[in-house]
Amino acid sequence: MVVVLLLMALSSLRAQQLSESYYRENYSWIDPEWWADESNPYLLRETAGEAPFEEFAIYGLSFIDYDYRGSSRFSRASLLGVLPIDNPLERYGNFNLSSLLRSLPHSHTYSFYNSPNHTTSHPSAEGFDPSPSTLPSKSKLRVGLSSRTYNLSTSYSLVAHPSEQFSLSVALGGRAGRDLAIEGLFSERAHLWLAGEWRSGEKDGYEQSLTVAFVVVPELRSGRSWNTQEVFDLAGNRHYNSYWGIQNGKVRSSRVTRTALPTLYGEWNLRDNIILTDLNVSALISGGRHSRTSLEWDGAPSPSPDYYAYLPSSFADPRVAAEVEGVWAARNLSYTQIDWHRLHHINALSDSGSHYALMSEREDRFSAVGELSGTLLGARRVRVGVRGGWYDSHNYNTPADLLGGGRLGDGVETYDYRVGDWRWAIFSTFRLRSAEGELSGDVELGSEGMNYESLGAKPRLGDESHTTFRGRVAWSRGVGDGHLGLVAHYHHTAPYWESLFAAPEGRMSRNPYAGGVDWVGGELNGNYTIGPLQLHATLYGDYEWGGATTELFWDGLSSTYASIMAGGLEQLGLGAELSAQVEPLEGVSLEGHLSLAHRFYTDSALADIISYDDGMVIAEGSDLDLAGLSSSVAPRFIGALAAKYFSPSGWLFGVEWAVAMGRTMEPSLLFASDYLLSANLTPEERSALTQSVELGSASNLDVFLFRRFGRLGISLSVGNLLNDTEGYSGGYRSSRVKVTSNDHTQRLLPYAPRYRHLYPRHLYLTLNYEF
Amino acid sequence: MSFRTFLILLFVAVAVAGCGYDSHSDVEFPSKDATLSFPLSALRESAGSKVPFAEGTSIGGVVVANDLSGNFYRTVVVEDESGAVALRLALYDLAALYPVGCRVCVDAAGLVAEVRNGVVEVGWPADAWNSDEVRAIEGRHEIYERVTVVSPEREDVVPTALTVDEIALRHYGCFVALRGLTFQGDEEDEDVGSEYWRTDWGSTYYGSEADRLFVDELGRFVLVRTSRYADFAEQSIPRGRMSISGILYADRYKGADVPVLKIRDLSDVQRER
Repeated sequence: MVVVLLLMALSSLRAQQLSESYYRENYSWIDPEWWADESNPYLLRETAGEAPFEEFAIYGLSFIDYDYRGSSRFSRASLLGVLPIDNPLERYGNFNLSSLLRSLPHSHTYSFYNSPNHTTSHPSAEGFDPSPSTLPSKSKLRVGLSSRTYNLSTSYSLVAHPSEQFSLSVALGGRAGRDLAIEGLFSERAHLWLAGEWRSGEKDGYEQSLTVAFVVVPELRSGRSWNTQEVFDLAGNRHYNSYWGIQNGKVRSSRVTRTALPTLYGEWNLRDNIILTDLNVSALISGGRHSRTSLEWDGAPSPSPDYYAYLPSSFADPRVAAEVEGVWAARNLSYTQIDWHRLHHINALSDSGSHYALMSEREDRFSAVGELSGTLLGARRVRVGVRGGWYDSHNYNTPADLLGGGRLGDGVETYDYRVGDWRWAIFSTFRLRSAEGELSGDVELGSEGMNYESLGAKPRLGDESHTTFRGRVAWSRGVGDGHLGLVAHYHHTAPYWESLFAAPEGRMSRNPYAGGVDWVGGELNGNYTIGPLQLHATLYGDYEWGGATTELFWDGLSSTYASIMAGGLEQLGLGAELSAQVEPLEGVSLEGHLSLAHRFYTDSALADIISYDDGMVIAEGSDLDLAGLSSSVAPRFIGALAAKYFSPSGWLFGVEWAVAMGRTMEPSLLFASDYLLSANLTPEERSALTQSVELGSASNLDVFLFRRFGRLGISLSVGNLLNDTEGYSGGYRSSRVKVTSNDHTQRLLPYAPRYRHLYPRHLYLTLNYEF
Repeated sequence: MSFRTFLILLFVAVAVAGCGYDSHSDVEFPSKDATLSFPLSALRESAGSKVPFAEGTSIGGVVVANDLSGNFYRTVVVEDESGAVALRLALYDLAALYPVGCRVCVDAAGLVAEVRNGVVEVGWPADAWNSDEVRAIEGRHEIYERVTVVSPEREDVVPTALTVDEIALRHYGCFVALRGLTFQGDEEDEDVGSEYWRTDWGSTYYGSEADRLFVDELGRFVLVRTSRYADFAEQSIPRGRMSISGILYADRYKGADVPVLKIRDLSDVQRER
């Protein structure tokens, strides 16, 4: 309320109401797509309009771990044309392709929650239109400097229209470098984009076009560890990264991800002005490899410098603890980071194979997706279609580096399995507009199947299928100087494939509690204009039941690796979002955002716990006391203020501040189980296991500056200007219990949670040259 | 040079310069100069004095036993031509760090030695309230810095063949082989028709170690001591006469001194015809 009053007060300074068209007319040189990439997303949001809080949240909250509305279901699907580029079997995401597409000179179409376009299982999608015909001819060269993850980037893009029927776009480039704040982080990336479009022009009442696009983004990047607060304190560094060490004077990371997934997309459109409004046939094929290295060991001391048994807190003798603290204080890299040389030496002494090995966890993926859709005769707003997809992932690990050993040690675990997913659906969307309002919706009925095959020493085969249904209806109506909208949806989907199995790397035991998942929800939204002030407000709620999950952990009670297979998870999400935008002065744009949200488990669930090695049941039908526990790390309160200034001389300045409060780590299913809680626990032990772990608040201030000088444009953005790193960007609880015995008394205490601190101040400087 | 040309060259520079973050050269095993202060037999003289070794004191030898099977908990036994010593090291998987046959050098400054069950043990001085005189060295930095492997070469480790009569003070802690031993099982232990006794090497209701009574060809007692946590503890003892190798300890049985063997694994047990 205070924010609203403040904005209204400011608006009184200037009576003139400024519209978006004013900016388009007077500041047409600010072409958002020209600039938008992950380094300066502020201009990207110029194109937003229908869901301002969602647009803010996607980029403005990137300083914390955040799923919009606390659930990955609300994260945007990425579409190339009309087809999703995400592979449902991927374990680690394909973010580099999305971020590249966002930086290309292509029209960005945003399909929001109330979009008339069909979507995937997500209510919101971000679409990238590959058709070069919609873009003006231009060539651009971009050079960027960065302090985060990479240092130097260049890219060249070209859009040309050699004839009336043909258009093409090309983009290629690369970036590389090291993170200047966090040791052990580096990346190398190249990209190639080729797209061509042929248009027939109108002939005999119809016209058609064919677009073919190819994109590949090979990338290599290293990772950053999660650590306990004890380790951050020992290292004296909030950005301590345990994944690296020195080898022959050079930084070497144990966690390196490589991705190369070439993607080919084709789309044929036929517009028939007599029979069908349009017909669309699209196909997407993608295949390649995603891999991640991981340092594995067997029969030797842990190579991790932050292994709990190496830390002062593990030593009962305070003298030893003090010595260990001294080693960290002295920054002895042989002990505070991975000692690659010692790992090699130990392997050289072994006659039973490498005790340590850098394993490459690989996913060889293939996906083929296609869609046929068209608009019905005479009903210009009704669209029907059929969509199908086939996804395959061969997951296995193989030695990437034996670290001086002759062969892999017998105790180092290997795995080899294949998962396939096929799906098809028929769908229909409609959109009806009248003077009073709009009614839209979509419905989709289909089937999804999975087949899985363990190819290792413990063969297992299986397949299953599930009927799927998605339905959504949205209604909006003009009310005075605004709109009021109502949306409702229901999904019945197949379980996520990783929730089907415990230990897919090993026994591939089927989770008996995993089945179809149901999700129902809705929202009431509205926007209203009061003079120069635009208000957007949303109330939403959603309920999910039938959720399932699996987790591998070390069971301190049975002293063995075990898997927990849980199901019957029920979650309720409720929230309210408020956004306000005002342009009180010429060239000045202000906006504010507020969100209150909570997502929590509504009931207990069930789980089985089995041994990882032999599948023996350790606990069957264990009750998980989850009711009331927060099920998401998303903040319960979010507040943000942003201001932009467009000066008549051509400067653009922006500043944005955001704060996130009320964050709780997701609970450990093991700690909520009666398998653990039925042990003889003291009140202190029970409290330590069951109490929620708060992440505390976090805030962030970003600034942005842009100027164009003829063909040359320069932008500078500084993230976390105040260098506030005390708060946490995220954290998680380990499902591991420390079991100690003293005087015939057994004590159970949870291991310390792990965190990442907020990323420090960083900058991006970008030069764009058009010729 | 035009600005456009400059930018194009910069483009090429990124493509060239952005390589090599994850390529690494091989690691060589460092050679270490092992200058020892005195032979291991000299440790027995200072054992029990509670006087820490002076700065610069180094001892060394070849590893003859470690914790691979779990029978030598937090212990590495090192032997030279004169004798042997058991290093008390509070770390797991010592067998990977100090495999049998590798030569090690130990920085003994500040450590003390004591004799327990006939074997010289070296570690940190125990606290005054502790009846033990030696406690295991803790902290991997301490262990790694003090106990270093001299070279990756592995030497053959052959037990010294002895009879009970030939056992001398200098043999305690060493890797020896006693021949002609037979397990002294009774009727309940017999598994008629089997090549094995019902009794296994390490199961016990009392304490963490089990003793098994053997006799040699002249009827002299020899105990074989096994930890209940050894990976062979539940393996049955073979019937018949056998040669058993292991680290030699001393203890008393029925009022008399008896030799005690701790085997490293079941390959130390060889049936004799």
